Amino acid sequence: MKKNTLTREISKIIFLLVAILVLHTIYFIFHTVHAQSVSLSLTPPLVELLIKPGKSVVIPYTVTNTSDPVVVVPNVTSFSPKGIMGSVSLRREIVGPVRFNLDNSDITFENGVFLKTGARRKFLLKIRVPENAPSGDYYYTFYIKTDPGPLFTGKSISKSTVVVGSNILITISKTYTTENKGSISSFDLENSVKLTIFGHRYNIVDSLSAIPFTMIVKNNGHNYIKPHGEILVRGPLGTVSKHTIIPVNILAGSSRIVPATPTVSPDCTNHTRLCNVPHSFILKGFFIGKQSLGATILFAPGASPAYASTSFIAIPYRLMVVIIIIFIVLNVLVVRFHILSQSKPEL
Amino acid sequence: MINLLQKIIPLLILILGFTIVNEVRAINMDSTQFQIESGTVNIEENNPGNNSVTLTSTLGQGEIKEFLSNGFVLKEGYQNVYPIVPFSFSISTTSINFGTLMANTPRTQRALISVNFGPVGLYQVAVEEMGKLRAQTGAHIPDTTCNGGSKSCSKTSANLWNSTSAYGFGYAMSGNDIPSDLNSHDYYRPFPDGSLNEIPTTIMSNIEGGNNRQSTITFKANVSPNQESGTYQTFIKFIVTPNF
Repeated sequence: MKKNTLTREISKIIFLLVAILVLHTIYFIFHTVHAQSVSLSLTPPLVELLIKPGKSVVIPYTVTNTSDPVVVVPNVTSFSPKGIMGSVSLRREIVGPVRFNLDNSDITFENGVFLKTGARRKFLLKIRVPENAPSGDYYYTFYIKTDPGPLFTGKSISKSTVVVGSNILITISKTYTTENKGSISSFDLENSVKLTIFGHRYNIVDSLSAIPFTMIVKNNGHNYIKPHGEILVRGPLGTVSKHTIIPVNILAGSSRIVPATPTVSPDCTNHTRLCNVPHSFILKGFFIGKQSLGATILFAPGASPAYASTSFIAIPYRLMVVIIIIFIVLNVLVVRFHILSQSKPEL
Repeated sequence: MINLLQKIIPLLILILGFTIVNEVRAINMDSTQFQIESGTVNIEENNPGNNSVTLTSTLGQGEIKEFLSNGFVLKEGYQNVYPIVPFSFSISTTSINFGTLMANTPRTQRALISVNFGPVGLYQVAVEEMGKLRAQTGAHIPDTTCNGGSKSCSKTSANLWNSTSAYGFGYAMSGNDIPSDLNSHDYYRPFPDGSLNEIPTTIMSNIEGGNNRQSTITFKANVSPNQESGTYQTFIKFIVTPNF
């Protein structure tokens, strides 16, 4: 009888110890692996590759974790260009003939890698182009995705997972040549008063205002292009300023706003109006009269350039309003002073 | 039995000690600041000496070599466009706990988002929910339509949501690089649903570069008195990509 009681007591203690151990282990596993905060960096953010069929390259990506320990899962997907600012829209599947795998011996796609705080890990992305791959452009994003862990029961909760990507532009060419065809589809200024007189459109701006210009370039070819060029601003007295086109990638069949060196950069910290207007560059100065802008774009060295032009008329109307108000106020004061001096009784 | 106990207890203590030691190590893993590193891109080619592969990257300090060929371009080496800064993303918390949701009592939780991509780098952050806030029974909290009527919101257009009798789940934003429609107090949007193949919505993007772009996302849930009791859960996916 006494032995049975002792055995029962011992069984209870063992059960309790095992239960504590299991709960303890689960608690610490979740707390060390599934991050509360995430901070990841990925380098390089963009890779451009011109490659012949049948060849392969290995690109080392570095992922750095500067926050809590986290499990990341690497993978590759296709993307499409979105909008006219060079943004991407990730597709839910990978398309095209290019084959990807990781050259790391211990990592594969869809397998999580644990990164402790401060850890830096190299992912060796192998890009292989089959012999029979058709020439053309193929756009991909290499990304790492954090593992949010399981949803805990007992709480109404939303858990976040983070995908950080790096874009890969691949041009497959048997002869290393690419098609560089483009056109300027739009070149205009924003925030101007537009007047149409006798069929002619005039852009009227204030002489002192910052004027955002937008130039949209369309890629009419089958390979991405990186146009070069410049924009000249000419006034009644000659050339006012020159703005160099900053080369950016315009993907096949898409359009993009092409940036140029500005005369002023808006401070976008506090939602400046100019920061909400997509633009190529901002022109600021004191302009009077008609100003003409001429853009020259080269899609490839030696190729025929594309031209576009626009113009605006600068009038210092804000300054004129201020001067008129000052004039009116002074006039009123003078008249009043005159009336007062006339109404003074003579001594 | 005593013998068995003598064998098991040291083993249990050893395992317990092991997990405690692991935890101590985890506590020591303090978060650090962003690290700036060299952005030189090293390319390892499988066939050294073979000139068939030309890689260019906007990160490197490489040279720009373009050759003329009848309107076509032959590229070799690097092309410098962006500065040598790694593309970084941070979110202050990945767990948004609404606690116990009570009818007509909106609950909000915030997370701080940071993006660092150097002085001229362009990026975007998109977001989607991987299914509705759903209970194990299958009941779900619907996506918000904001106050409804003339104050209805959509996945791409925010509107006022301050009525306690307007139910659902959504988000608001404040800070840098956020869409202009979200730049008002109590203006919310519903999340696009990735499980329905809806397109993720951009919540941060810049047209001018800038270091350390920061915003706050506010998650909000409000349930009706008819909402089935239970715990509601979902995943929110943040997709962070540099521009090409």
